[in-house]
Amino acid sequence: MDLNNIFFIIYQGLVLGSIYGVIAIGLSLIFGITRIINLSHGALIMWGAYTAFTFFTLYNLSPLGSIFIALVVGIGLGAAIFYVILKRLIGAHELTTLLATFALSIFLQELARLRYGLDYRGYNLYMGSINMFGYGASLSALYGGILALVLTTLLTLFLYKTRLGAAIRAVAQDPVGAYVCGIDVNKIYAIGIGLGSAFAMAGGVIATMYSPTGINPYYGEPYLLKSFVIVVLGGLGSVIGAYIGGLIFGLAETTLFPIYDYLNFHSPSSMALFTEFIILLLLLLLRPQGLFKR
Amino acid sequence: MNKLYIAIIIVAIIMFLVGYLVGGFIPRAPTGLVTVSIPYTYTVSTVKTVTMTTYSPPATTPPVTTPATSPSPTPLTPLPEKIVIGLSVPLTGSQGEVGTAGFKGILAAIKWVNEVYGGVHLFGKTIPLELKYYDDESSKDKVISYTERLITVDKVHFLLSSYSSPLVFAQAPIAEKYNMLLVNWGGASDLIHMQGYKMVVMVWTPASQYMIQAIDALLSANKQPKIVLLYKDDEFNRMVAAGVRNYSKKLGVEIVYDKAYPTDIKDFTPYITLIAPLKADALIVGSHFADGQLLTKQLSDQNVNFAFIAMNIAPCYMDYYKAFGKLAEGIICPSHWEIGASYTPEIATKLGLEWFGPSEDEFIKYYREIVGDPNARPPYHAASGAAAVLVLVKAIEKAQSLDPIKVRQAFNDMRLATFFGEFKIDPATGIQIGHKMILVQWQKGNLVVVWPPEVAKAKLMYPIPTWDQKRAGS
Repeated sequence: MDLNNIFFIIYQGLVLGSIYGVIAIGLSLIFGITRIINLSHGALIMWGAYTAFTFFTLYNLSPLGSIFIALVVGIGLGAAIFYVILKRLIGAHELTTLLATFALSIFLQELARLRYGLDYRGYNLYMGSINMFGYGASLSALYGGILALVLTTLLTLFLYKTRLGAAIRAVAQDPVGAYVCGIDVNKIYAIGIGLGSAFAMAGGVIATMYSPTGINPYYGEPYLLKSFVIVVLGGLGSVIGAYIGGLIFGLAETTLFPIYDYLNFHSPSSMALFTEFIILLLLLLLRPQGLFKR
Repeated sequence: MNKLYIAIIIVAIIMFLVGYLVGGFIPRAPTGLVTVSIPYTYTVSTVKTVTMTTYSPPATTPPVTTPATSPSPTPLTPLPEKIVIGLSVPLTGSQGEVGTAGFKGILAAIKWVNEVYGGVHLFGKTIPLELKYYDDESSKDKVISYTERLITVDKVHFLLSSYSSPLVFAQAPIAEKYNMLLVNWGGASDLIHMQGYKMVVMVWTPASQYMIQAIDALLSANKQPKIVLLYKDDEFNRMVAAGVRNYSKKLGVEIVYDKAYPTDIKDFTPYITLIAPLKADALIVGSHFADGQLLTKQLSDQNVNFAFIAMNIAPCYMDYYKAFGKLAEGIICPSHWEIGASYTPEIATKLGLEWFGPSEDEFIKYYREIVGDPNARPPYHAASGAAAVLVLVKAIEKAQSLDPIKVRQAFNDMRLATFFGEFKIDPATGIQIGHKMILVQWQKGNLVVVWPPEVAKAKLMYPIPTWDQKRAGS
């Protein structure tokens, strides 16, 4: 293995990690504001992937365009989910909200199955390749990674530099105090869940920029599992933590691979994932609050 | 206290890793073709004793000769009005798409048997077939309960298997428990037939033989190829890889990279980064659909080229070409059956085999009637389901009995040709040894049969164009 190979592996880890980060942000955001663990996060990612697929195949619209559609639809869908289902569950027992979002996840998956069937879908997105340290690197994946970083930056600026962002942070910290100060808490919840859902769907679009194949109603499930790990790693409820957690997760995934390959494990990829979970376990024992505070 | 927990966990992890590492370095026998010694004897009715000994690789399996069962002039028990076949099949769930195709093929074959052939010929009478089925929703739990229900409540005469290796793996012990014959058209893993089951008979080629033809085809174009072998870490593809490994070793073909990937893989770039510098000639992949698509996409994005790419399942579907267009050109897929590559009565005669069943055209006609689409193209899963019905009918007639054990015994020395191909099992395990895979390759937007040469409709394209050449339109 030469230096170029090592640099390329790190580059891949950063791109993949950036995408993991933006995918996990939605989950972290919703938990941070409402204390609800959203098990329908994976289904929303899947709908984001279908959005990219549908607009590309029907209207030849690049995912760079369909990401805006996903964001808009996501905000609307998230707000609707709040008012129809989650509003009455705020403050309810954790199991109740888990079951409700799990049911929602099944509903969204079955809806996709009705619309698209069970076939694996994919679209032929090719934006070109560039030479990166002597290896061919997909431009669409690179754009996906950059887009993920841009979206995360915009969300952070929104949360920390605008009045609405301050209101969201206030509700996240103390909903009763925020209510006393005149903030419409329900509206903030709706916006928060809307934003979380929008990021989940946008994450789905960006995930297809990395690999625009294998889209089916269960597409989001592996991402849901990874998102949980990432948000716990980064600190539950922290947007920046989720993004950096994603970067760490992506880097670990790509850098551990050649080590296990060199050690001649029959499935280096599985071993890399296994080690990531071990690291997470140790980290939680040593620092249960995650790497970043809310 | 926390420190104690941490210490315990660290020690546990270290011990696990050491164990795994040591286990990983111990040379393992290839799981696919291990000879298992399961000596057992079972008594068939009151007449014969069949001794079944070991499973050995198909080529060296000595045929077990079984005295022919002479048809009784009259049945010992009154004949039923219908012969009921039981089926638990995934019509929905993750295997729903393919399970449905197999189900439609089964219906088409039953329709042919009842309408054209006139029913099963038993003691001078013809008895129609009836299908009793349940949708197991691709669930292992459901396939187990429905299989038991079909045997104990619905009292079916025989069973056809579910679709996919995990589901057939789950239902086989149930059939075995009740001594019920299970005709396996949907589970390709060799392991199903290496558990010592006596009542399971396989219709299509087992997984370990899937890529054998691909290696033969590769050798026809390149005498000293270097192969990269990647496979999904599941029951089915581990067997596929074991078959490639064994056959390559036998022929002295060099495998320069041999690794599994996880079942829910979302990124092949770490693999591609490591195999790119190896400059191998061929890539052989034990895949399913989503992973096969993903690998194609990422190989093309990273511009990593091979002169020969053979991949399971994904390229066999039209959706693959829809997704990749010209990038699919030259990609090879092993298939059990394709339109235009069917056996015919003439081929059967040439091979000295008995012919049974509809012709390819007849099967397609009935399949289209069942599907309700005059342009429907039956996939090989549909043909395999149909073949299961046909071989079962022939075995019942040969046994002249509805006793599952006698019919199972009749399968032992049955050699038959249907439109799906040859049928012959290894008597000890019930594994299929007669049926051969074919190779199809995407050429100018069409999936054409390129191997074996005797049924090929086009010449093997080798080397295939590079990704850049394909993008440029050549």
